[in-house]
Amino acid sequence: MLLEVKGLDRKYRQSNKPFYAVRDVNLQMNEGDHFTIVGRSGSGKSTLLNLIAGLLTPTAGEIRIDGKNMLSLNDNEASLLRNSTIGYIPQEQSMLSCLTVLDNVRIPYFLWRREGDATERALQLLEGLGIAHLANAYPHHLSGGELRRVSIARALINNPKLLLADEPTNDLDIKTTDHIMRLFAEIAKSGTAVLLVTHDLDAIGYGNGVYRMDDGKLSQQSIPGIYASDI
Amino acid sequence: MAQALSMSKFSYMNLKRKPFRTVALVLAVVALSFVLFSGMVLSVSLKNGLNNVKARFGADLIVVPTGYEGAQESILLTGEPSCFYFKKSVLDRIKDAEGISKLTAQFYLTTLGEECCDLPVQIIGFDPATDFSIQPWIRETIGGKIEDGALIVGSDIHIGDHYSVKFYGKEYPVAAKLDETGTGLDQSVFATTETIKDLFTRAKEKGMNFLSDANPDASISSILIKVEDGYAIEQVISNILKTAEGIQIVRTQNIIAGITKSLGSFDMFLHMFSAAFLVLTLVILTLVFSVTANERKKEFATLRILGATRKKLAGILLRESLYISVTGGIIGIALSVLFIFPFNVFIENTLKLPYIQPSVPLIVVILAGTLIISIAIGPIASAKSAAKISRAETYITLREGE
Repeated sequence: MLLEVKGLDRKYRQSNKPFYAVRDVNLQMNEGDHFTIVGRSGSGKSTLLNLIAGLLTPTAGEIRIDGKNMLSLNDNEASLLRNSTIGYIPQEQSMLSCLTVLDNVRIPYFLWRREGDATERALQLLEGLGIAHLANAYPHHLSGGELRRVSIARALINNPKLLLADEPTNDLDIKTTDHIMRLFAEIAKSGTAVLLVTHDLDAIGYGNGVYRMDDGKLSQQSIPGIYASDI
Repeated sequence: MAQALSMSKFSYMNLKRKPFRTVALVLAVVALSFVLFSGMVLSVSLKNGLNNVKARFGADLIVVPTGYEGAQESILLTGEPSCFYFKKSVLDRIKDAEGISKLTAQFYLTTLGEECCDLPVQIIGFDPATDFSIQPWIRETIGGKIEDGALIVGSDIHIGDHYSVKFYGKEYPVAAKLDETGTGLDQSVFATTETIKDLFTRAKEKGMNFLSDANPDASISSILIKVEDGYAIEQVISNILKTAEGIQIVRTQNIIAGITKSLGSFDMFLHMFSAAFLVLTLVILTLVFSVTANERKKEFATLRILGATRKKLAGILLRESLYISVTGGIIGIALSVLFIFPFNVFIENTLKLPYIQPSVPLIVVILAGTLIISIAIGPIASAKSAAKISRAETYITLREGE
């Protein structure tokens, strides 16, 4: 089991009343799984993804990644796990503006001591995403779609076992969305578990499992059960 | 192949990305280290000068012609040459005044445009038989008495390779060059009465660069007096004033007290100015780092997502502040070294206070201290922001940055 989420809660207080962004979520993923979570804005999809990535602390529950209990890890161990086992594609634009595209892709490799160099792999990833010609450009010269592809390349640089993607096709046209979703499917075939959240109907149907998030609760769905009006 | 991307390089790239902000912060540290180093060197130099003045003023009282008290002080403090005379008979009249332990006369000459010196020089003639003020230093320097025909020169007089100095067309051997005192005596030349007579005669013959027409056989410029133990200085002054007319008495203690007072005020100003600069720089840097860290929340959240530890995030900000303070500290100290050492004579003349630069080991200590403060100020100023950045919950800061 690569990912095991049990009874996960994230509670906030709104107007002095408890509010569950994520409530009693259970999820299991093995290597090569490719799951999509759909749901309305504010349903708790991104919060769940951030809890799994260790960027938020749950108020209850358990997350095990690659056999390690995320909640029992200290900052060093959790950071190393995030760096080497998880690839994360945030919803927001998250490029480091002082670095070139190539360096943005390479930086996760250099955050922890490693032998060798990541340049060749970074260039291969950029090539695969069709933006190798932008390797020496700076993020402010790139379009939204190009930036999204750079963040995908960055998430893959350390060969993660689990790829988490938060609205990866946001702002992308249908053709690019298809290209990127096919890429995720290929990544999953190569053994990396892919978990993505989206409200883009064009992005559904590329994986082997669809979940729906409603008011913090996660439920498994069959694809025909998803309607545009729901999300 | 592209270079490895270390966190040091990342910090450097961040500073490079904001050149205006980086240069402004470096300049703040440059100004701080300049003020700290210059202020400390000035302060120590002035204290050294005062200590030397206290050690070198062998006389308690100096009798001068009426109206020349200020000129006498200028000779002693700044080396501004001056000539004034009264009759030698004054010496005989006051020597029996009660309360005098020792007394000796001096004869002053001034020159203009000699090879040795850029500025006019004060020549002080002393009587080896009675002198108690100059000869102790000479003994300290050459271990014996000065011969007639030779000169002793202050530390600022250039004596050339032949260890001689030319006045009125004649080369005079230099018996010794005195150590720096930080007073006007550094720009003075000392000679025995016999040598002074020779200088005087030559000056008369040449008819050049000589400002007085007094006669060393019949005139003197000042009388230095050592008060006998147990006598009040005021009483001795009163006793002397009763013996002769047309004289004025300079109390060396007053000169020293004046210097001490001026030095005290200036020293306090230097310390307060340095402290104010330190606080101001700390406040500026703290504010800028705080604003910068706030602006860069999203960037730090991204690094956290990619696997940077909290310690690494704090390290990035601390490293950037360290680069700024090291660069600023080194440039500031280099500039103050270029300013304060080559221009020491200018500073001394401007301040009109005795000034002796610290020894090389002390300069090294001051330099190291300034560098430590300058280097420490950046990380101290950024510490709070670094701690705040490393505590923030990543997901929230990433959303806040939108």
